[in-house]
Amino acid sequence: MRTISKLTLAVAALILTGTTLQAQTNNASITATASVQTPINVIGAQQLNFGNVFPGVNKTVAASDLTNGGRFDVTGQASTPVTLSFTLPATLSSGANTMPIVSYTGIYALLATQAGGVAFTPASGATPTLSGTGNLFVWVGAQVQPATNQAAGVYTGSVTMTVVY
Amino acid sequence: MKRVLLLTLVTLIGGRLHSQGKPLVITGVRGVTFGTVLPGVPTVVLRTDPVNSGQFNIKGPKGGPAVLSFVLPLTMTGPAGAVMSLTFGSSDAGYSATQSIGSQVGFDPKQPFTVAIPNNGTASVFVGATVNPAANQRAGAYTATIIFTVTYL
Amino acid sequence: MKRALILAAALALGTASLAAQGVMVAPHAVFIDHRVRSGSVLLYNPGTEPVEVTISTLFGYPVTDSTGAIGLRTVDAPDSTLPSALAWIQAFPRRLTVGPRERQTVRLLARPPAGLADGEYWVRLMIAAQAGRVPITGAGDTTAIQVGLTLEVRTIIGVNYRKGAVSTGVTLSNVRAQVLGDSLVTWSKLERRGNAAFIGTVRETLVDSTGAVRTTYNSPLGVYFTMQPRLATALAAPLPRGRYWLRYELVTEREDLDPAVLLKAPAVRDSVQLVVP
Repeated sequence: MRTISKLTLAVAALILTGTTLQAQTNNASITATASVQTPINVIGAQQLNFGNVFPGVNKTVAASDLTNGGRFDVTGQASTPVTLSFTLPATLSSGANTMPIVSYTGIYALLATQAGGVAFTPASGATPTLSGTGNLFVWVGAQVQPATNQAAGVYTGSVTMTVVY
Repeated sequence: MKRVLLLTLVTLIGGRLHSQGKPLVITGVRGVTFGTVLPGVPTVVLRTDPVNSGQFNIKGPKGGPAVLSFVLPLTMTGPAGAVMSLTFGSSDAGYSATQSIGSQVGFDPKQPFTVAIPNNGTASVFVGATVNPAANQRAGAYTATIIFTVTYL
Repeated sequence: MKRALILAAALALGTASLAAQGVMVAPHAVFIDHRVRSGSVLLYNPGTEPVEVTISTLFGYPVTDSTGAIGLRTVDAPDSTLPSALAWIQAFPRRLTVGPRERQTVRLLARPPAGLADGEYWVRLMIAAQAGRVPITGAGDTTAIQVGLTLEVRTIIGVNYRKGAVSTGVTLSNVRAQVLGDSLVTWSKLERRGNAAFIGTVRETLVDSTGAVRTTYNSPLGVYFTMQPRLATALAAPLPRGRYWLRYELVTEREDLDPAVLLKAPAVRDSVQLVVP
């Protein structure tokens, strides 16, 4: 009886020791990587809107017109000087028919409200600086001159703003 | 009776000592790669992304339960000490008993997860995450370390 | 009848609100190592409509005019006296469409001529994005005059290719400062040294006679040859009468570029006094 008890105790001790050794733990690590790159973002935010146009009646949209003026938004690094240039159509076309578009005007400002805006002539370009938050807003206006016998149709053209960053 | 008891105990001891002979090895196979990140634009890497997701391989004693856990960073660190928010969703980790990215059981890497390691002792864990760059996030390279721990029960 | 015709001709025009269209371009300056000979630009469309993009290259570098305004001088056919990479850096693809919330990568591949000397070579990348079309309405009315204008935006960024030993630096001279209206205006002359463009930041600090800082201004700047930039910053409040010092410093640090792409050079500094009457 005594022998069995000693043996049982010894085996029990071994079993208990074996249970502790069973719990293995190990670990490893990996790295997460990313490369942040500051973009330049130029968008055509609002079209130049002439509203109703009547034959023989010139229609002007001023660059100061926040609702109807064409607007470009530029976003980039704060306080960066940029150069703006424009390609402006002289006529709009509808098939073989054309309509003059003249007297382009421009305003650039650091706020979407045009507060503190600077007037410029789009044909000559401009050299503004982005705001302290990296923003710039550019408005363009013009005048269309439909003839008294202007043919009906859809007259289109393209206004291009180039930003050198 | 005494002999049966003795043989049973020896078998138990022998079995556990045998399993202790095979080490547990965890390997970091691949990091989580976000690539180009734009300020203000959150970028997501899915745990099922075969190129950009993180991967750990497990190789150890066959069979048995194990607990998987992570030490997850809250941010990535970049130039001049800049930090960028890093988050892990409730299904951004995946366990695969077949070591196949196409066959995973998703789990929350923020919580310990108990699995059954297959008899061949090998398995894999895949990791995804989301970075949330600020609108004025400074440009440059950002890194963070993800630690993965396996505990055999 | 005339009135009826006029009314009939009243235009229902394409004035429906057009969602903003364009693409983000990142990085806004690309630096290619000769050992790799390739680079990339990421385009991201944050809008809800696809954007058509065309890519082209040109040679140019920033200069200043007589007023100090910064512009891009372009050269159609740069000769060997100019460090041009125009002939041997190509962008692929040249035309692509970037879907809503999509990213696309434009690859830049370089095939420099054999025996190219160590140094930095430049090209400009133009990314033109069709910013959406005017949705013309009332098309069923054939007597209407409808007017629509497509907006297109073009972004020009710099690509600098570096081979071998490259170095940069800048000399600073002729620093002037003046308060004009509600702005602090500065002028300087910057001449690039070394064989690579100086890519860095102008840091201006205005201090008063007690040494207190009244305003600071940082502007990213790239000096490729010689420039005489005029920089202006709005003052938060009118400055009291008195003497001030402007500290003008150029450093090769940028928050908008990966530090790994910036060539280091010693900072250059100067100070000038200005008087607010």
